[in-house]
Amino acid sequence: MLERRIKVNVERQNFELQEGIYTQSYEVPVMDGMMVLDALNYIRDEIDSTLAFRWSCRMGICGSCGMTVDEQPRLTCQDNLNEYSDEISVAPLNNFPVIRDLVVDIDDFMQKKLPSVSPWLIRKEEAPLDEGEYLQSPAEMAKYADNSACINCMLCYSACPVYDMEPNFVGPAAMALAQRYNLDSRDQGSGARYSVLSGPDALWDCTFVGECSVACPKGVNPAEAIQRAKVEAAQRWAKSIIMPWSQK
Amino acid sequence: MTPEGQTRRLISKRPKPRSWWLLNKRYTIYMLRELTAIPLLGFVLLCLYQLIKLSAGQSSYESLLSAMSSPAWILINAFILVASILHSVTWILLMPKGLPEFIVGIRVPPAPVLFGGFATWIAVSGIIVTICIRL
Amino acid sequence: MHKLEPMWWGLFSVGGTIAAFLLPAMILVVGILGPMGIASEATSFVRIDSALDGLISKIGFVVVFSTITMHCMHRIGALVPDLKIPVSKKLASAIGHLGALIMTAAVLVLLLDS
Repeated sequence: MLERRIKVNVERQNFELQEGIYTQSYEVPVMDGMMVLDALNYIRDEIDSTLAFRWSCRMGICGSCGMTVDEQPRLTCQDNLNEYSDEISVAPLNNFPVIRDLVVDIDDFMQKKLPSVSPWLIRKEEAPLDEGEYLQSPAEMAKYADNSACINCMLCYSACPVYDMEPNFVGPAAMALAQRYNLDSRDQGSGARYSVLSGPDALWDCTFVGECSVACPKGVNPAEAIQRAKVEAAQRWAKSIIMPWSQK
Repeated sequence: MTPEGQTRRLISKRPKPRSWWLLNKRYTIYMLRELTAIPLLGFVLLCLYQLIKLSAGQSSYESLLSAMSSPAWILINAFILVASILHSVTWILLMPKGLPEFIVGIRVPPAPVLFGGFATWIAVSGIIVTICIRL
Repeated sequence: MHKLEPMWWGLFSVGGTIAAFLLPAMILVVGILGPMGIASEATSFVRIDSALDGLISKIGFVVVFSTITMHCMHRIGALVPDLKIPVSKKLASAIGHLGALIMTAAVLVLLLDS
């Protein structure tokens, strides 16, 4: 079998060796069906064990192997090398602080942005257990199903120029997940979520670039979810002005 | 190791150029779309100026009208026209994303919204221009 | 000030929609066909002056003018951080909104005068 060899140019950072960013190139033999992550694993196993990158499930669900491949944010375990030329560049995700090599610091999203929108079902009062589960029809589920596919891989943050310029921006995935729960018939917490969404550094900072929806590897459409949330938030605001008594 | 016993971390984002919107063509189209606001503001200011001239009287308004028939003014207005068409096209293309996704429980597909948007735009424009020419 | 964000965005959206449907035709008539003599009657002093005489047409003009102005100024305010111009984002958007309000006030004064 004819073997294909590709050149992988990895953008590295390791303060213990040297300050700043440097590029290291590796030659990797590629078989049909290999993903970008497989090439990185080959490099670490066979060529250079100092290369640091994050990965886990290799099946596009853990969301930990996001990187910048040929300057596009990609989930590397789902990114087929057949779609690339014989020379590719791999760099850490944009817009996140780099810890080492291809590993970025995700604390901002995981600890601040994501919890800020309460991405779970909120009930004013939990029904007693013996009343059974909260039922939902397929039509009700269809309203939020698209937004629920998010795996927190943060590719959308990497694609978002607003997040680049405003680090406090709540951002695409968190706002799409807020909508996922706002649109859930079992949820009663949209009021609290909208006060976050309509507050500083959230909905009104989004300028609808739309690149988040292009970057998403799971078919979530954060740009659209945010746009619909803006319409809803503006209606809620107008209602609170025209009918102040409707607010609690 | 730092005195606190934690590993020292080098925290820096990948540098991004000032002209980030040239990095891919979708960013560039976005930037062109946003930049249409500047020529459109130019037209709004022209309207304001016309209104000032109008309230100053007929001769004042007509001197502006004759100035506007110069090739330079026509060229500027043609440029503003191109920008406003770009605004219309990009705005209508985004319309399906702002409307409610479900109306009486049925998902609204984007195609009819887009078709309706462009048809309305062309019809309205045709009516305005035809009436103004026939006056 | 943050409480007003939904209002600015609402006006921006209304203005953007009005601009999308009306502006190309208006620019074609006012900026090109009128001056070139193809639609000279439509832009003549008598026509425009009498068209802006009625209360309803005055209200219509103010609504179209103010929302489109707000649309433009809101977008230009957002362009400031996009172009990495070193001016605070909040200041840029406040100046934009204020500018649109001043222009609307100017139109109101001019129309009430005539």
